[in-house]
Amino acid sequence: MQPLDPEQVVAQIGKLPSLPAVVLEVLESFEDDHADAGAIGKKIAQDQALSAKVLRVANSPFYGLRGRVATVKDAMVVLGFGNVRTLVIGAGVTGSFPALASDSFDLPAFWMHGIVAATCARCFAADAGIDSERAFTAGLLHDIGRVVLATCFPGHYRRVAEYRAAHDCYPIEAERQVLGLDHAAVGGALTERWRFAPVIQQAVAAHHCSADPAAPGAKPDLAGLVHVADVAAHALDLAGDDNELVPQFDAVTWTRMGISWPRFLEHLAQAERRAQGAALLLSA
Amino acid sequence: MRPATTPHLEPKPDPVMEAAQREAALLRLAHLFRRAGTDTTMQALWRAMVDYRTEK
Repeated sequence: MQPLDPEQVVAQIGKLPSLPAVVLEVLESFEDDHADAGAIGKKIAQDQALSAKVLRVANSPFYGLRGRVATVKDAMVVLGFGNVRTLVIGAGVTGSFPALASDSFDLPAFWMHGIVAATCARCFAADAGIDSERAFTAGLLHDIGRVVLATCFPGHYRRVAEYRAAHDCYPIEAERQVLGLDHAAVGGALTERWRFAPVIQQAVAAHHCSADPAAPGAKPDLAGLVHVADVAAHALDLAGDDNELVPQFDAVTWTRMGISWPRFLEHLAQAERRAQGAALLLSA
Repeated sequence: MRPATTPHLEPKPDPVMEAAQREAALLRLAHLFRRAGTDTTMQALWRAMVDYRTEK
């Protein structure tokens, strides 16, 4: 099988639908400290599929109000604005891809890993002096390029899975070997097409890149934070992947974050607890 | 009258079971870090995860 032509991938990304307007507004609300939760709630209420999801989660046994939450407005009170934003982004992004025909891609495991990475990123963000909501979004979507590859090029992606199984290598190595490109680059192109904030585009595209040790006075950045969160999420091993493999941890990026090991473990414990609740949002 | 005493119902930790769980956690971590090599940051992460999984 021939490697993928990058232009062919870009063309395929161009054919994917834009994100629904309500999802874009929710994403933009992360950049706005005065975002109007009521106005966003009204927009969600106009989208039948999204409101059904929001209500389903708010009425789930986890929140103990089974059957008593009838409106999106009430659901936003029960779930909190942050959780509703996560739910809307997850549902909007998943709904923007053609149905997955590939048996070599496990969508629930993908979302679970994204949630754990997002939760870790949010926990680490304050220590690194990075906006926590932006960290959560970048963590949630850092591997989105995998979904593009699995949905738009299922035959190629099956070969990636076969190569990985045969060589027990990192998924990104299998992608580069079989496809000639990797999910980080594809995710970067997709987030550009979806007009995410440039800092999120860069974090998605560069979350496997090593930091430049020679960069003078370099501060922690979002891409580095997502790298650390991605490694932590793989180490936590909550996605249910038998072949889980912790990626190489970039020493320069880790040192730059300025997080001590004891503090790292405190964050892991917090992230593990929160991820269980957040997983419910995207499984509804 | 002496107050009624409540029997302590919490099961005692089973050392054999605890040792088995610890062993299983260490085996899983060894599997997760099978490509870690000798990189010092990966080794430090591995040690941190051993602490995390065995001291919880």
